[in-house]
Amino acid sequence: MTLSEPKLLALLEKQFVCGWRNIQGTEAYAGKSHDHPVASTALQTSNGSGGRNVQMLFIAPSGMVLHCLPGYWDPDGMMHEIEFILELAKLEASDLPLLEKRDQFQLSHLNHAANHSEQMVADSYLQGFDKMREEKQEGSDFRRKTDGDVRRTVDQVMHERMARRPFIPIEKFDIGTVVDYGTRFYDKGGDGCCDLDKGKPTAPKRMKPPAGGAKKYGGWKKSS
Amino acid sequence: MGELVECQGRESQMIPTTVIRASLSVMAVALFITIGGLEAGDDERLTPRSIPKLSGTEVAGRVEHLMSGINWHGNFDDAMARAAEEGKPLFWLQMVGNLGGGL
Repeated sequence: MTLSEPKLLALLEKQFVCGWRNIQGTEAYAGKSHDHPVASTALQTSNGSGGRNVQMLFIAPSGMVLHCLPGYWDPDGMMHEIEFILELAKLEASDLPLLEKRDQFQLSHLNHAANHSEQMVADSYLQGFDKMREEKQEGSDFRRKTDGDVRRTVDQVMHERMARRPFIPIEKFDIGTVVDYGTRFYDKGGDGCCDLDKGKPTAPKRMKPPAGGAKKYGGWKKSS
Repeated sequence: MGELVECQGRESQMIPTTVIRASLSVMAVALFITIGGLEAGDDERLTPRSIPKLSGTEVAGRVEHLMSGINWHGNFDDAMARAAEEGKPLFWLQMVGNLGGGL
């Protein structure tokens, strides 16, 4: 329901050309979920939930990918990201050499993540079943470098993944890798069972916010 | 009246023990309320607060608004060409399901 927020809708209509496609059965990275009829009650969830089922790509007029927001995003969080994307679009359209643009692209993504509000970070925690999957991945970038715990949040990880793909043309953009986190099956209210073939998702449990969510960070600096 | 206690480091300042007891009681109650509040807060799930929970009817109405409020392209190449023509970025949505028809 985020996209139908009047403020967001107006921004998309004014600043972007918009398009969509159904990836069900056509893309290997596409996930699965329960059916959600159009007139079913809309629930709240965390930013990035269902990243294999929904991907929002932002692409410059030249075809370079600016950003990718997977899954659900809170309207406030998405608005914050779109303002950042419009700045990246200006950078991409500038006369700077490509290498300099790519350098700034990387720094911009990392700095933006570093300056996310505590609320944004807290709203972007992994749901239980997604966290379980990441805990099985030894090299998961959702692990904290300090103690290896899977505590990092989607808003942070996505900016880091994008920073490693500076102004990549859409034809070469490995979206399947970018949205590779959590389980293939998404249950909007659940946080337990995650295997579509083995069982039913459990009822939602009350979750604690990530302990590592709150942070203050000075930002990344360009090396001289 | 309670007995008087001499405070160390202060010149002849005496504080009644009843005052000390009362102060400690107030601090204990305040601490209890604070800790109780923190525990309740920690147990609550942090969810986005920007939008309220919407009923099915409201959702259907907003989806209709979403579909009519934007000129959605259904073909990527056409959308990309339009973006290049207008000099605007492309917002390209991929989803499992139909934009106007649920997942």
